[in-house]
Amino acid sequence: MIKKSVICFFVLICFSAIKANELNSNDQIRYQSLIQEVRCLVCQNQSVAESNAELAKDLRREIKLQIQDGKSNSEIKKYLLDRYGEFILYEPAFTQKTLFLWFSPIILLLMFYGWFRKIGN
Amino acid sequence: MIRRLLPLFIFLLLLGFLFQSLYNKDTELPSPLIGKPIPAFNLKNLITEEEHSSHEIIGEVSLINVWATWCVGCEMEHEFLVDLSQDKRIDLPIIGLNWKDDDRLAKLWLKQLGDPYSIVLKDPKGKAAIDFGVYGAPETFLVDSSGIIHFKHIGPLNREIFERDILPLIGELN
Amino acid sequence: MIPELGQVFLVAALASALLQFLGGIGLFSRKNENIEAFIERITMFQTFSLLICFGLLTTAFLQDDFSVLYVASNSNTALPFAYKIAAVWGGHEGSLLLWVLILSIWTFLLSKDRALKSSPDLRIQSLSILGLISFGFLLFILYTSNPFERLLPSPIQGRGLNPLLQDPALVIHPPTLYAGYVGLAVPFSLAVSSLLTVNNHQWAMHARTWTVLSWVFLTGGIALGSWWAYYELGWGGWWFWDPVENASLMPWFLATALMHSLIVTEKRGIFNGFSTLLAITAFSLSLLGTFLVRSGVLISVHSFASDPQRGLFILGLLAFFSGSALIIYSIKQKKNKQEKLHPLSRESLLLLNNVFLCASAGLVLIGTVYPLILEMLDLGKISVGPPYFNFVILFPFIPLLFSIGVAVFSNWSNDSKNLINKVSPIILIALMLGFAFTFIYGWDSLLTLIGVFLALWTILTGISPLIKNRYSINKSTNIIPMMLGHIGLGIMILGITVTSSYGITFDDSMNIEQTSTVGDYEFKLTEIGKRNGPNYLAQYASIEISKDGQYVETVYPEKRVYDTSSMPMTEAGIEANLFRDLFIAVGEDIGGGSWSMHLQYKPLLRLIWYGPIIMILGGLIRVFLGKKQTERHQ
Repeated sequence: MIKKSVICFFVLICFSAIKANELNSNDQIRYQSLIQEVRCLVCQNQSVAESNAELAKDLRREIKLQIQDGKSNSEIKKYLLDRYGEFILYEPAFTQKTLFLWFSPIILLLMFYGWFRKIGN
Repeated sequence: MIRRLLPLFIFLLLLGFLFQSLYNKDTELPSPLIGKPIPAFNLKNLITEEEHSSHEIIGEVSLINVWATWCVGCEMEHEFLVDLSQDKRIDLPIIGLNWKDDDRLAKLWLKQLGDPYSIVLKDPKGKAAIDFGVYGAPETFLVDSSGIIHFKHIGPLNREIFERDILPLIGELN
Repeated sequence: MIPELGQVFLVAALASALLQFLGGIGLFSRKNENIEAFIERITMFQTFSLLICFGLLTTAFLQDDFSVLYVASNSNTALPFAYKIAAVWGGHEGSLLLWVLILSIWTFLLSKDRALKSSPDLRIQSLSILGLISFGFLLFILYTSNPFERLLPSPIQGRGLNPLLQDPALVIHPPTLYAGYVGLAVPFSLAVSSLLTVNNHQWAMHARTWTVLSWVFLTGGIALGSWWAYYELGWGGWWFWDPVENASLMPWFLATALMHSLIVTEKRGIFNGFSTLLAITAFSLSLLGTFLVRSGVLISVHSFASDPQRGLFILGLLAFFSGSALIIYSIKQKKNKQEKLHPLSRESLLLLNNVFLCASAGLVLIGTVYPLILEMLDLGKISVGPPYFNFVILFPFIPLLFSIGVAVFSNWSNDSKNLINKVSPIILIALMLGFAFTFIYGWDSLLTLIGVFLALWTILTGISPLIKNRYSINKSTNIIPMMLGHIGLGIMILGITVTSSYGITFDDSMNIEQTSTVGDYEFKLTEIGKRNGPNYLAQYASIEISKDGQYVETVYPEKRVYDTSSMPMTEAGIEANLFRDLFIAVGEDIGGGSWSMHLQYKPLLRLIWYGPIIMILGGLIRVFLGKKQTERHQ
C-alpha cells in the first residue's frame, strides 16, 4: 500500500514537471479559440489550428508562449498583424474598407425588409 | 422596370469583379514591415556559433536572404546568389538567415554549392523568421544602411527580378 | 483506343445537346408532337453517350492506362480498387464529365415527367434550355478540360490520388453535391421557359418536385462534405466557411427558399415573380460555385484547377445563362397579382422566411467575395473567415428560426385570430425546456440559451401538427415532409449550439501510460507504434478512454504519410454515441517519448448530421408523395 502511494507520488511529481509547459484550462480555451482565428499562410484556407505545416506549428508555439507570458488576445493579434499583415487574421478588423462588410447584415436585412413590404402590399 | 433590372445590375457588377479577379494573380502577401526597421534579434552564427544582435549586422545596404536546405526554391536561386555575391560592381553583402534547418546539412550545402553570404545566422526554432513575417522560404529583404526594410521578394530570386525590382532601389539608397 | 472512343462519344453528346436545343426552338419542325418526339429521342441518346464516356473513362482508370493524361495525374497502380473509381471524379476534367452526365440524367428524367406532358410548350422549351446548358458545358470540356487527352510517351506510374480524397465519404460526396447543383438547372429551365412561353404560374407546380429532389441531394452533399471534413481533415472541425463550402451553402439557402416559395405560387398563384427570380438565382449561384471552385480565384483546400482560361470559360457560361435569364426576367415578368396580404397569414410568413434565407445567402456571398473585391481595388489582402460568418449569420437566422415556428401555426389567406394563443404555450414549453437544458449543461451565455430555445421551438412546432390533428395527417402531402424538415432543422441547430457552446478542446503532451483529463473523461496513452497500410505508412497511438474509472473504449488515432505525398495526414480516433463525440488526433513527437495530442469532447455533435438525415427523409417523402399525387391528377 505504502509502496503504491510512493509510486503514485513520484508519478505525480513527474507529471507536474512535464505538464509545467502546458496551459491551465482557462488559457487553453483562449489558446484554442485564438489559433482558430489565425490563418495558416502557406496552407490553402486553413487556420493554424488545423494545419500540420511547419509554419503553423511555429505560430501555435509562439501564441502559446505569449499566452504563458500573460499577453492579452489583442496584444497577440497585434504582434501577428505587425509581422504578417491583415491577411493573417480570419476576423477582418473594423476599418473604413470593411465598413460595408460589417454593416452588410443590417443593410441586407433592411433592404430585403423593404422588398418584403413592397411585395406584401 | 428599374426594380426589375436590379438583379441584373447586381449580377453584372459581380461578374465584372469576378472577371477582374481572374487576372489578379498576385499571390504574394504585402509585408507590413516595408519602411520599418528590421526586427531585433540575437542569433548565432552558423559557422562560428558566435551570437550576433540585429544591430551588429546592419550598417550598409544589404540583402537578407531566408533559406534552408529543405527548401526547393532556395536551390533554384542559389547559383544566382553566388554570382551576385561575386559581382564587384554591385557590391551588395548578402546576409543569410538559415531557417529551421539542420546545422550539418546547412554547412554541407554551403561547402558544396558555394557560400554567397557575408554572414549566416541560424534560426533553428523559427522565432526570428516569425518576426520577419516569413511564411515560405526563400524570401529576400532589401535593407538600407540604417536597417530599414525597403523591399521584400517572396520566392526564388533571379537576375531578371533583381534588376527589375531591387537594383533601381539600391541606386536610390546609395 | 478507349480514349479515342471516349472522344467520339463526347462529340456525339455535344452534337445531340445542340440538336436538342435547336429542335426545341423549332428549327426542324413547327409541330409540337414532332418536336417532342425528336427531343425525347435525342435526350436519351445524349444520356447514353455520356454514360458510355463515363464508362470508358472508368475503364481507363481500372486498366491503369497512364497514356491518358487525366488517369496519369489522378491515379496509380497502388490505388485500391474503390478509389480508382472515385478517382474518375477526383480531378477537374472527370468531375466536369460527371457534371454533364448528371445534367443529362436530370434532363432525361424531366423528359419522362408525365405531368409535364400536359403543358407541351413548357416542356419543349425547358428541355431545349437544358440542352443549351449541356452544350455549353460539353464545349467547355472539349475545349479546355478533355479527360481523354493523351500523354505520350506514357509514364510507367501515375501520380496518384490526393490522399485527402481517399475516403469512402468522398467517393459519394461529389456526385451527391453535383446532383444537387445540377438539379437546380431543372427549376431554372422551367422558370425561364415559362417566361418565354405561357408566362403564368403553372411552372411552379411542375418545378416543385424537382426542386425538392435537388434540395435533397444538395442537403445530402453538404452534410456528407461536413462529415468528411470532421473525421478526415483531422482537427475536429465540421464547418470552416471555406469558399467551396460557401459555394454549396448559397444555392442551398436559395433552393430552400424556392421550395417554400413554390408552395405559395402553386397554391395561391402569387409570388410568381419572386419564385422565378429564386429559380434563376439558385442555379446561377450553383454556376458561381462551379466557377469559384474551378477557377482557383479563391485559394481553398478544394480548388484543384487554376487555369485562367478555364475560369474565363465558366465565367462566360455564367454570364450567358444567368445574364440572359435575368434579361428575360426583366422584360417578360408580369406585374405581381395585386392582392392585399395579411401580415400574419401563411403566405406572408413564408415570404418573410424566404427573405431571411435570401439575406443569409447574400451575407455568405458578400463575405466570400469581399476579399477579392478589396484586392482588386488595391486595398490590400484581407481574410474573411469563421469568426465573421459565425457572427453575421445570426442576424438573419435568429428571426428566421423564430418565424418558422409561427408560420407553422398560421392559416392561408388570413390572419389567424388567435395566433398568439396558439403559439404562446409552445414558446413557454420551449423556454422552460431551454432553461432546464442550460441548467443541466451549465450556464454558458445568453446566445446559447437563445440557440437551444430556438432549436426546441423549431422541433416542437414541427411536431405540433401531429398533436393538433391526430388522425387527419394524410390530408395533405405537405404535412409530413414539413414536419420532418423542421424537426431535422431544429435537431441540427441544437447540435450546432450545444457542441459549440459546451465542447472542450485540449492540446496536451502525453507520455506512454500517462493520462489526460477532458471534461469527465480520462484519456490514457498506452502505446505508440508503426503500421503499414496499402499505400501509406502510419504512426498510431493507442488511447484508452475511461469515465469515472469505468473503461469506455480504446481508439487508435493515426498519422499517415502516403507514398505520393510528403505531408502527413491525420486520421483521428473517434469514440461516438448519440450524446457526445470524443475525438483524438495525434500531433507531433515532441521528444523524450512525449507526443502532443489533440483531445476533444463534443456534446451532441452527431445531431449536426442526424438533423439533415431527417430533413432528407422529409424531402424524399415529399418527392414520392408529390409524384403520386400529380399522377392521380392525370
